[in-house]
Parts: sequence; C-alpha cells; structure tokens
Amino acid sequence: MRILLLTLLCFFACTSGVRASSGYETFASLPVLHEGRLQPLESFARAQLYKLSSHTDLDGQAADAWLADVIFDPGGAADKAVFALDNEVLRERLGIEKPRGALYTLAELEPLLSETRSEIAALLAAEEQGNLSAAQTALLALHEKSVTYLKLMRSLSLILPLNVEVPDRYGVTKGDVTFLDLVRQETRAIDDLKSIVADKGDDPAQYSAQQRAIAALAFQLQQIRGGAAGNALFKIMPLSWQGGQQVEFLAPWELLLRGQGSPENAAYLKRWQAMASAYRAGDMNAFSDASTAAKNHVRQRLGAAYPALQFTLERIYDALQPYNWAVFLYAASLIFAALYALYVSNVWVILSRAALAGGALFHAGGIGLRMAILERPPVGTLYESVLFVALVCALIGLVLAFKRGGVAYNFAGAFAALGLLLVAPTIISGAETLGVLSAVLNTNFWLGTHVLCITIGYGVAVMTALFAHFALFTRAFPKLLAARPDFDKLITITYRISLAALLFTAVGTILGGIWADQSWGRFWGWDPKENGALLIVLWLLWLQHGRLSGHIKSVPFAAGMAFMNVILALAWFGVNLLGVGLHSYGFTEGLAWGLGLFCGAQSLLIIVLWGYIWRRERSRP
Amino acid sequence: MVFHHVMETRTGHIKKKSKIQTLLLRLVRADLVFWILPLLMVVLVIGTLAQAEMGLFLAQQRYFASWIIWFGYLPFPGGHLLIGLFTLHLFLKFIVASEWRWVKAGIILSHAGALILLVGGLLTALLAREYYMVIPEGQTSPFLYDYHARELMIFEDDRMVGAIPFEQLQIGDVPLDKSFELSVMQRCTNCLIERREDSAQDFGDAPLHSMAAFMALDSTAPVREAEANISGVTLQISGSDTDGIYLAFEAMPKPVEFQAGGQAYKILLGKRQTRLPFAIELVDFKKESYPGEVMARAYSADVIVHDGGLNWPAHIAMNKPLRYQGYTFYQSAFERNEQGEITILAVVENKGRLFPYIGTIVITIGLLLHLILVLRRKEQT
Repeated sequence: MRILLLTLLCFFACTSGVRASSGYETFASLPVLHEGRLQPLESFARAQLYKLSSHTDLDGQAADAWLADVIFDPGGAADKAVFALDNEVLRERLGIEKPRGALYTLAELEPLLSETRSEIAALLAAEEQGNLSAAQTALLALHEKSVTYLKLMRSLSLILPLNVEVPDRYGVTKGDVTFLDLVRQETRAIDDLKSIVADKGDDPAQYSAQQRAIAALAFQLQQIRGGAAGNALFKIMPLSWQGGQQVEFLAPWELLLRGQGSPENAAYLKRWQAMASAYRAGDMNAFSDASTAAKNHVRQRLGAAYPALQFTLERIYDALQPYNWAVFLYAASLIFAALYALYVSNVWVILSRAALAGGALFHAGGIGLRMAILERPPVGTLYESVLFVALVCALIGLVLAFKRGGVAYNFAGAFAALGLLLVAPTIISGAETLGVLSAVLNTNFWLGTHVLCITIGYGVAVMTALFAHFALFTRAFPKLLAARPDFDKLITITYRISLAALLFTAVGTILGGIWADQSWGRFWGWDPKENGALLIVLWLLWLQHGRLSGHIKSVPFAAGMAFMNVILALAWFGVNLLGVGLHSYGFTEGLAWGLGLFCGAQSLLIIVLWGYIWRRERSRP
Repeated sequence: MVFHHVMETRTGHIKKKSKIQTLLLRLVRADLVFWILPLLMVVLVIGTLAQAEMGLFLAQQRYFASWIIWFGYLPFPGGHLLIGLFTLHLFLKFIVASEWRWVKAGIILSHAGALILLVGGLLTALLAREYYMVIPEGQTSPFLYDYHARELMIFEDDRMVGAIPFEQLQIGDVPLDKSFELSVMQRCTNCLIERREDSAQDFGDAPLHSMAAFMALDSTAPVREAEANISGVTLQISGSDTDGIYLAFEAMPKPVEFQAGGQAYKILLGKRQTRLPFAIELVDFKKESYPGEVMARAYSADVIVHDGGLNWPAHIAMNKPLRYQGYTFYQSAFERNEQGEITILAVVENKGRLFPYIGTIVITIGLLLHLILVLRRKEQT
C-alpha cells in the first residue's frame, strides 16, 4: 500500500506545489473534523464555500483564504458576496438588481431572511410531507446557508478582540480583550448588571458612565454566548491529546460550553489566537509562522492519530482535480477518434489512444487517492460508483484498443468514461467530499467483492450497449464513415462483451445476495435494488439465449443490447427514486428529470434507428 | 382419449409420442426461456414499481410470491409460476438436453449453478421463517416475534391458553371454550387512537373499562410497510366479574385484565410469538459513531446464549451474525429509553441457506469457463 501511495505521490509531485507563496499553505493543512472524518482545513473550506456559493473559489480567492477572512475577520464577512440565489421568485422578492448567477452578501439577504423567519417552522413541516414549491425549497436552503455562515463567522468569536470597554473593577488590563479573557468575569458582570437594574431600572439614561460600561459589557458577553450556542461546525480542538486511533475533535465554543477545556487546549487555542492577530494585522509572514507553529503543535501532540500521509494525499487530490484532467483527455481522445472515422489516418489512432491512456491514468490516480485517503475500496456511494464505472469503461476501451487495434474501442471507452464523469457531479448535492459510510456498508470485504463485481458489471454493460449502438448506426448508415466498420463484426463484439457483462453482473448480484444473507438474514428480499440488478441479468440472458436459439436476429439483438443502457440507468439510479427498501439512499429531484430524459432519448434513438433500418431493408429488393 | 403424435426417431423409425412426452419435449425446448424471461421481467418491473405504493411486503406477496396475478379480471402469471416453470425447464433441459461435451462445460455448469440457486430459493420460500427479537440490556428472552402476523393472545393465570390470528377476528362472537364470552365490536388493521369523547362509537349501556374509558380506536388507511401498522380490536366481554367494553391494540402498555369463574385472565394483541428452544441475554449493546457525528459507524451486541444448563458469551455485529441450532441472529435495530438500550435482532431460520453459496461458486466457475472456451475457440478459428 505504501509503495502505491509513494508512486502516486511521485506521479503528482509536479502538480502539488500549489500556492506555495500565498501564506495559506500551512493554514490550509490544519486538521478539522467534519462529517465524521479528520480532514485538512482546505477540504472543509471548499465544502463550506461550495455549499454557500456553488463555487469552490471566489473570484480567484481560494476557499482557505475565504475561510480565513470569515473566521478571523467576521466584521467584514457580512458584506462579502458569497450566497448563490438562483430562484427567480426569491430574487424578485429580494428586489436587488443583480445579474443571474451573481452572489449576494449576508447584509443584502438580511431583510428577506428577517421577513421570512416566522415561516420556517411551517416550511419544515411541509418539507416532511414533500409539499414544497421550488421557491419554498430555495428559501429553506437560504436560511440554512445563512445559519451555516453565521456559525462560521462566530466560530472563533471567543478568541477575537472585542470592541468593548472593560471597567477597571474586573481587573482585565490588556489592550485587545477577548471573550476568553473575560469569561471568568462574565457571571460577575451579569450580577452587577442585575443589581444596577434593581437599583435604577432598565433605562440606561439613568446610569452613571461606569454603570453604562458594565451594562454594555454584560450585554455583549451575553450576546456572544447566546450566538455561540449549538455552534459545533468548526471542530478544530482535539478533545484528548493522548493520541490513539480515533481522536474526538470539538469546536472551540463546544469545548468551552461543555466545560472540557484543558491546559493543552488553551495552549493550542493561543496558537489560533496568534494566527488571528497576524491575519487581522495583515502580516502574512507572521500568519504563516503562526500557522506552522499551530500545525507542529497539534502534529507533535497527537502523534499517530495525526493522519499526515492522508492529509498530504488529500491536499494533492484537492489541488490536482484529477477528474477534470481525465474529462479533458477523454474529450480529446473522442475528438481524435472522430477525426479518424472521417479522415482515416494512423496519427489519429495514436493520438486518441494516448489521450485515452492519459485520461485513464489521471482517473485511476484520482480513485487511487480516494482509496488511500478513505482507507477503503473505491466504491461505497452512488457518486463513487459512477466514477468507478467510468474508469472501467475507459480501461476496457484501452485494453481492447491495444489488443485488437482499430479506433472503435478507443471511441467507446472515451465516450462512456466522459459521459459518466460529466454525470458524476450531478449525483452529489454539494462539493465533492470524501464521505464516511453507514454502519452496514462499513465493511471492506463486501465493498471489495460484491460492490466491485457489480460495478465492473455495470461498466461492461455500458460498453456492451455502446457497441450495440455502433452496430445499429453502422447498419443504418453503412457509408457514412470513411472507416467503414463491419456490422457483423460489431455484433460479435457486442455479444462477447455481453458475456463478460453477464459474468460480472450475475456473480455480483449473487454476491450481493450473500452479503444480504450475512447482514440482514435473507439472500433475496425483492428489494428494488436487488430487482434492478436481476433485471439486468435477465435482460442479458434473454437476448443472449434469443440470439442463440435464433428467435432474435442481429438487428433486434443490437437494439436490445443498446436498450441495456436504459435498463442499467433504471437499475442503477432509478430504483432509488422509489424510496423503499434497504438500499434506498438520497436522490435529487433534478436527477430524476435527467434520468427520465436520458431514458426517453435513448429509447427514441433506438426506435428511430431500428425503424429506419427496417424500412430501408424492407424496400430493398 | 389419448392423443398420439408421430415423430421420427434418429434411427428412422416412426414412433408415437404420448401427451406427457409431448409436454416434456415442449418444456425442454429452448424457446420456452425466450417466452418466460420477458414475462418474468414484466412481473419484476411491475412488482418493483408497486412497492412505492403498497410497500415491500404486500408487493412481494402479490407479484413475486403468487401463482396468478389478477389485474381486474385479467390474469397474468405470477412470480412463483414463472420461476417454477423456469426451474422445471432448466431441470429437464439439464437432464435431457445437455450436450455433454467439453466445449459446453461452462454452460452446463452455469445451468447447474442456476438450478442449485433456484432450488435453494424454493427451499427458502417454503421453509424459511423470519422473526425478530427485542431484548433490553440485562434481560433474557426466548421469544421470537413475527414481522407481519398478529394474534389475540389469552392468558389464564399467566399461562397462554389461546391465540386467535388477527385475520380470524371478525365482527361478532369469538368461539371460545371459557367461562366468559368474547365479541369483537370493531376491528382495524391500522388503528388511529383517539380520545373517547371525540369518538362517535356507541356501545349502549355497556360500561367502558380500562383504556376503553378514555380511548377509542378508529380505522385508518394501512401504511406502506405492513409491519408498521397498529392493529387493534374493540372487545365486549361478558360472563366475567367486570363485563363491558375493552380495547386491545399493538403497543398497548398494559394487557386487558379481568376475573371470570375465579380465574385471572389477560388478553393481549400483538405480533405472533414463538418460543426459541433456548434464550438470549443482552449484556451490552454498543453504538459506535463516527467522531463528531450522530451517524453510526458500527452497531454490536454482547449476548449470552442460555441453553439448558449451558451458558456462553457471543458477539453479534453488523455483517457478523450469531448462528445456533439452525437460527441466525442479526443486529437489526436498537432503541433507547430511560431504562437503557434495547437491541432488536432479526432472526432467520432457513434450511436452504447454503444453496446460494454453492450455486454462486458453480455459476462463477461455469461462466468463467464458458468465457474462456469461447475466447479460445475464437482464437483457434
């Protein structure tokens, strides 16, 4: 495993030196616990920024620099445009003229948020019933985003300087005083305020200058504490400094409010305070030094519990964006292959193959990095299954292209991989994250056997369907391409690949049954996902047997195998729409429309091609 | 009258076939699969889509575990019929029409594996029983509960003396050989529990006892997952020391209690109970979460199996069930209340559980072999 990681590191070393001089380098690699996993601050920042703005950077400002602005200088954050608001109804209701896609500041949104705050409870109840309009859904999302943003703004409010005058009686003499400096005086200040109110009532005009200062202090401390309640988003403080395999992290306010502070925590918080001071002073060198000191501090103290290698890999993964490179190279491969079909020349074959190989290398590198970071097999979520199936398609295309020659395999591999990689981001609602798995899926053995087998089967089935499409196109338009592919040969290839698809999907489905037997006590439960997998197997069996027995001729066989794409899409994604059974997991409404559109378009294409072939061949003498 | 068909044998002799032979030959013909598979796929798609409407259990009963599906007056072959025909075809083909040649070895093995799977499926469908167990921490239980079947249980001096399946509890008198009489006044598969003063039900002068005094049951539409329904009945008891109207429904905290003929009776409505030949004690239930998250990373239960005088500890975790005496115990769910944690174990008794394992191995070898043989033959040509 180590050798694999080192190889990956060497491979990506040329691209890992991102923003070396920006001053955020070390800050970006500080540990944050988020969604059950310790990750570098950069990943956390990227996920939060994407959640708010649907972008992973803001006008050239990277997510970590944006986060530093928000947490260290919350005063300015309210006027920073960060909220995406695409719903026309809400944009109109807000009444601020901005072009579509422009971002809004919290200050701009505040009137709308205040006006609609009373509607939230009713909207949440309606959401449970599934009765929300698009505008209502967007409004709820906007409120949720504003809460997240406020949490981020207030995450370090206990160590940032307060704009408050501290009366001498509290014995705090330093210049920039923070909530943490005053926390011991908080109760006393509130008691003092109570006696002032008891003595002089609640009109500050009646108070002396010192009493007004006490009232202001007590009020501000209460406000800060009130705003911090439930703020557990920015988990940067290790609860225990003993090391070990799993270390619980808490947000600074969580630590304070739960009374779980310790001298070690206080020392680490001081490092963060130093970072805040340097940042606020605009001294990026000092900020970088303070970040390094904080990182060394936490790294030394946590020892083995600090996942240094995973952090490095994750930062490379974030910086490299391997799937973007893969998309670019697959698209190039596709273009070269198309050029070959039009102007037959070996140059296009070589270029197409090289681009496909390069794309697959980045793609496999990305999946390898994910595996190393998460320490589990490559597929555990729907998103990961799409990434993996895309790679399987690219690899099948590549292997067949090298083995058999010709450009059709390149084209098929690049086309399928590109299509799937473009679909993958629509599966997840936020930025790409490296998520943890629910308890039943948290088993490397079954993820490495059943899930891999079935997803390889999906990949092979996609390639089967693609070759069937080629066959149909070739039969319909035999003279269209200069390359002149042979229909019968394509049918044979389709049949052979479909045998491999049957092997993997059948064995994968049965292995799934065995997993189900191990974890739920039944081999087969007619659960939608199981039925979907069975449908793929039966469809393949039917077409293969039909072809062998002579009931299904070549053209209907190709049409049927091309239709495999629809069966596959329904079995892979469609069954999740039903919302029943043990396999059902999150699915967005937009994706449902996309799926419907895909299935409709595919079916139409196949019918049109088949019909065209039938008419043409019927009229032939 | 017996029909005979004329056929020519390999040796050129003319031979007459009986009706049975004709049927057998029809069942062996390869095109049968060509017709069965699309029908099976139609059932599969409709049955899956129906789950969104009627829930997994009911859809399974109607489409997959049935011989005939009725769409109004229109019959359609059900899952059992199609899978049964498919199995029969595969079996006969395997015996009669297999080409016992090396090049066909992969196909023969795959078919044999599929047969093993299907026979295992048949055994499971016929013999497997699924239950669940509910054990609070520190307690021992020998009781298994059915997921779907409910019954009205009658206890005489804490000893169960009768159990009437819920489906048999229709409005009217319940035949009982006891010193009291029982009538069902009202029943609901899924009950809505409402306040007595809000209910329009009128039982005349009959006094309302126990929960019936302040609660009433009203029927509401069954929910999608049948096991989540709360079934219940409103009963009239006569011939007891405290005659009148009583309620019995699932999840009722207290049973119906009364005296009749000098005996103490209790009536309880709940999921059908079965007794294990041994008992399980829950020592400790653990939910392990991801750091900083509510999401569970793992669930597990430390239990002690009590069988006669023998006791031994066991550990049940996700994907790691406990198997004993033909029963398998799976960590399924948990609850928490003031008293502590309660584990819910899914329990399965399945005589055919090894078949899928054997079938999988055989099919895998068969498909791999077939693929290799096809590729090799291709290379040779």
